[in-house]
Amino acid sequence: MQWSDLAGADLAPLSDLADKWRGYTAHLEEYGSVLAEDVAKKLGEDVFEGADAAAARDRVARLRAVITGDVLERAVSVRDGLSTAYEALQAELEEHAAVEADAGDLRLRIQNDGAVVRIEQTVLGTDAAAALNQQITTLAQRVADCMGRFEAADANLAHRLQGAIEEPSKLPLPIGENPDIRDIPTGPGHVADWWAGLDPMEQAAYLEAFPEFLGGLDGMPADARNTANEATLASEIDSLDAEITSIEAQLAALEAGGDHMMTAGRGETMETEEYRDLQARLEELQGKRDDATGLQENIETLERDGRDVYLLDYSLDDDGQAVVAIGNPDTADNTAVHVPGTYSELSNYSTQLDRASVMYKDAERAAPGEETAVIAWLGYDAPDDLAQASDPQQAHDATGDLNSFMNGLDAAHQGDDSHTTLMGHSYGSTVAGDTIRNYEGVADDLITVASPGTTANSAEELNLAEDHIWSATAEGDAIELPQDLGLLGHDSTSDGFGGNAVTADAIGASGSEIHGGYWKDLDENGDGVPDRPNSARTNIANIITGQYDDVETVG
Amino acid sequence: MPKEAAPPEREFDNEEVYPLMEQLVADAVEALPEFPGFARRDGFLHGCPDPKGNPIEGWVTIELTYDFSTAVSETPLVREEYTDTLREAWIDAGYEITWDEASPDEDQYNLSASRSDGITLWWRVWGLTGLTIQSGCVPISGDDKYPAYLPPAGGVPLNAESDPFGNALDPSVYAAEASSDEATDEAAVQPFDNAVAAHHAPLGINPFGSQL
Repeated sequence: MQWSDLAGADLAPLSDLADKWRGYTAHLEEYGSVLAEDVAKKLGEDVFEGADAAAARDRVARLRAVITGDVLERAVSVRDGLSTAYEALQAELEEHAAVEADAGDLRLRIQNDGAVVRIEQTVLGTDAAAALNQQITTLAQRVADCMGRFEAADANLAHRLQGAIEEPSKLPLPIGENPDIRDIPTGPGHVADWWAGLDPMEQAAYLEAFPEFLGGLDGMPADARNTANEATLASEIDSLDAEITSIEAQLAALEAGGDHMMTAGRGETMETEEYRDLQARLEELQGKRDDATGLQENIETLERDGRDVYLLDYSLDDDGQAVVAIGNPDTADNTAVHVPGTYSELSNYSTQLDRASVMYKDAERAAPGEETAVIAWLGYDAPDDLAQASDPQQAHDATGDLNSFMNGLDAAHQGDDSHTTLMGHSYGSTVAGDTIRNYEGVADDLITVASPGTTANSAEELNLAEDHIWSATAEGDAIELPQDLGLLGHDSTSDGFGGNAVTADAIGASGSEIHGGYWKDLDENGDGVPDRPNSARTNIANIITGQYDDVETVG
Repeated sequence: MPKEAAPPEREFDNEEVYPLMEQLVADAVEALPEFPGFARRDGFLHGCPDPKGNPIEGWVTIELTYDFSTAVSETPLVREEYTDTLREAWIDAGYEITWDEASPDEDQYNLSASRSDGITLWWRVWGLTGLTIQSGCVPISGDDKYPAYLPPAGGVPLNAESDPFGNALDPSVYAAEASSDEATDEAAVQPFDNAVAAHHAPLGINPFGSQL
């Protein structure tokens, strides 16, 4: 900081901010009073009795304790800090003006570094020179003191503000306008810009208000999506548990009263429709809960293994969906997005996370100076059987979402662009290929593993240069039949397709085992126990990290 | 739920195979002259899925990796001399060499060996050079798929980052081990003489006996 900086210092924004915090703390105090007096009186024991009323009183009391306790304390601290800082800084600006005025009177000038010099170099007598030197010394000391106090007040203000945003999510009420879902823009680029323009307290307020919406919103940063989705997932599990408990109680009551059975004729009995419906609902809810807790446990397992994990999206509807990143895609130098294929659903998503984790560590070892992220993208409804897997419709349906997700990664990325690879296994490669065929700028490289087709008839139809298209199919893979049929496009490993066919070991005793064996290790002697690491791992690691010369191609 | 296809029978479970894998690393370290020390140990447990991707209950694969630092990984000592030394040592030990190949531009190298008990050793000369030991699918004994903690071999620091499964009994284990240089050096070549290792080793077996 230099002396002239003080002349241009504008404390109006600080004054405005201090006013807002004064209003905010007043609001909190008022809110606490309302809870203490009005609400508590209206919910008093003399007005309402019973368990629900007691629970409501407890809840109000807890809310009041939070608001009038830690939250208010922190807000008051910020308010007072801002006021103190404003007063201190304002005092130094006034001292700055006074020093400048005194210097002018003495025909002295204060330089940026705080040195005091004479404006006119006239010759003075000994006494006059000594007096002037004394005045210069005094003035220089005032300059130094003023700047020192100003810097101290400025540092104290920064410390106070840092303290205020340290745990913004603990402050439930934002300053100014409440979060409004209508203010959230559409499109990953706009979303990224909008989010970056919010201050930390506003971001926390939006995450608290709309976690279900923001968790899956492309363009949001990975850590914010993770925060929102973890909160939503925990909340959904709580809701499922509550509903399961309720249905179990209803079933028990029906059984206890003998109301769960009815006469079916000829002396036989059968369960009532109500009882069967409740059982079916219970089974459905338990399935969802298992999927949800399974996802939580899978993430915890990865974190225990030392991985940096981000839950970027999920759904418990139907077969369930999940998008999880290992490594932070917002800061990664290399990002790979893996799309799994037929039979993939939330209940077996751990297999996709295992594969992503292997690819993540391999990429880290292939390029140790670079940061990597690998994402298992089960963001679509994968085929449940071979009939569905012969139809490109589910791939077509997924391309818009996958393209949006890839654009979101790009928009949220910090610093230089990430080298991005989109890859898919089995029908997942159809989704990946169809996305690259329909949209431009989706990824830098495409890897198809055991692909039944990319919906393209040649590499030229894909929006990528041929030397960035990589395809692997192991000999004997059951996928060779659909490849020959060409229902989902031409075989991307065939000579006429274009691109690069890369080596892959055939791992498994049957075509279906080989199809699922690309991340397994090689059993050369057929005893069921691996003998050799799968060469596909090295190829994938080298493509993900852009080390193309190390990729082993066929022929 | 369709009937699950079980992986082939193994002669050890997850608790039994892990000490053996650590011992294989220690054996490799002993065979390597002027050993500069590994920088990091990393463990990974993953499932054993059926062809449809459904994890088979009760089975797990353990992958244990020791890496040199980036700087050491770039030296001819570890990239060339150690590759030749390990090839020879593994052949002498009766292992089958199953992969012995440079990448197309000869920038990377992969050397792997298979033991008769199904454990695979993989010497990776990549950006990071290191040794990976793969168990293949093994049954899980008890309820915990994570094997008990063992201190690292090869000079790896005793800290949480090098705790492969995050399951040391207490972080003080690291501090206690690290406080003694002698203990650290000893652990580098004899990880199972350590009191912590002895405490956690499976009872009633000699994990290194006839299988080495």
